[in-house]
Amino acid sequence: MNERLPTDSHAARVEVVTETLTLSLHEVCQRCGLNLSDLQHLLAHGVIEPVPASSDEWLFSADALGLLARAARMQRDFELDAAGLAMALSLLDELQRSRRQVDRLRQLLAQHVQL
Amino acid sequence: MEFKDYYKIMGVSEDADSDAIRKAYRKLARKYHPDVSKEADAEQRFKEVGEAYEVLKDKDKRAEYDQLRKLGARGRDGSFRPPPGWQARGGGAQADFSDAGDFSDFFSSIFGGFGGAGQQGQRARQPYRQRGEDVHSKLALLLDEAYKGGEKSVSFQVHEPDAQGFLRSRRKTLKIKIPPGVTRGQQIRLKGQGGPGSGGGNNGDLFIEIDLAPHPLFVVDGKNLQLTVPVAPWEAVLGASIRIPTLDGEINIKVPPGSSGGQKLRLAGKGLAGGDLIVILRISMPRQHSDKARELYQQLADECQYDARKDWAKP
Repeated sequence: MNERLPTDSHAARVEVVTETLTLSLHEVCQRCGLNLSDLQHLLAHGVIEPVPASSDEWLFSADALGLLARAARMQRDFELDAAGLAMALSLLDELQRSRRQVDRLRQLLAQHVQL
Repeated sequence: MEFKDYYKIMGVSEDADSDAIRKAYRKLARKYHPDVSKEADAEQRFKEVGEAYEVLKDKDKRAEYDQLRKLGARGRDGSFRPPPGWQARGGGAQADFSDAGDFSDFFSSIFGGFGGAGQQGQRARQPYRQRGEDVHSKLALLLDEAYKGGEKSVSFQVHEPDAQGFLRSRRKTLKIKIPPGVTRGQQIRLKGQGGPGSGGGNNGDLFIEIDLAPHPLFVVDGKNLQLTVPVAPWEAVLGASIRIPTLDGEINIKVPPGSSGGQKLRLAGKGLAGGDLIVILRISMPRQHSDKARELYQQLADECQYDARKDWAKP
């Protein structure tokens, strides 16, 4: 199945959105497929945090969107309730940090010591 | 088409009850979930397990599968061909498929569904206006690519309706231009490249999370890069001007006199996204020494009277 690749003008529409894209609570719910109560639970557990905003409305960054997409997958695949989901996401975050740290230290160690 | 032994995939016996099947699924899902597992084939294995569970957890689907299995619809080479007259069920039976777009052709040939080669699928929700799904993907870049930017191909799955309005899973490939200076964890967006909207709704977006592949020299620590540089003992003691690589090309740096192994030198702004390059000195000894060099080392030993283990291994 051959597919036409987009042209350069298309490719120019790539944007880094980590700090620039902010979404309202309603948009986040709509995009990630989690319901409001699950989202509020994740907020209460500090798994996601709104970006500081001048208005009263809660706004979330694109990073939160990636995290919430993972939350929706994990909720579906492990049949987790909101509290379990919050716990799983926190542990997963810690696991990823630790794995990254181990990889980094292993790489450094290999450069200093003959393993 | 390959016959899939769902019992084998789940590691359960043919007479396993629903509790045993659920337990096996949960165990395997924890092991192979792409968000959790580090195993190279985790995604593929997880899909297989999900497909097996989809069938074995459902009494009707399981009975149907068992019947086919007993009919021996397997060729000598392990290939599968549905018996003549076999009708894939399709229709309302797949209403609860949460992510069935990734199920195999084998599954589709038995149950219909909206797998890649399915004959019948779930009708796309057309009548009302709905935004297409966002797609989240990861892309591992080499450090140089992340720093300088460049073109990359990305492949991802989207669910979209075919000519008959049935949802199909399709692998989409796009060539994208990575902007320079991206780093691990950043999200880039391709607007409108996710799933198609329905009833005049907008397409979803494609979000790509940047990851960095390990580099043989540079170690990534957030925005900083660490670079271990070997120096000769006399370069460390006397100081030296040495040439080192950076992501911008080679530069000269000064090793200050009196340096030691493990010492760090910070080069501001030479890391990722405004971070620093941390040079870590490693004292490297020549493999062999001439008689003259050994003589000079002896003179050095006599002159320094240095006990390297004086404060070592003492409580």
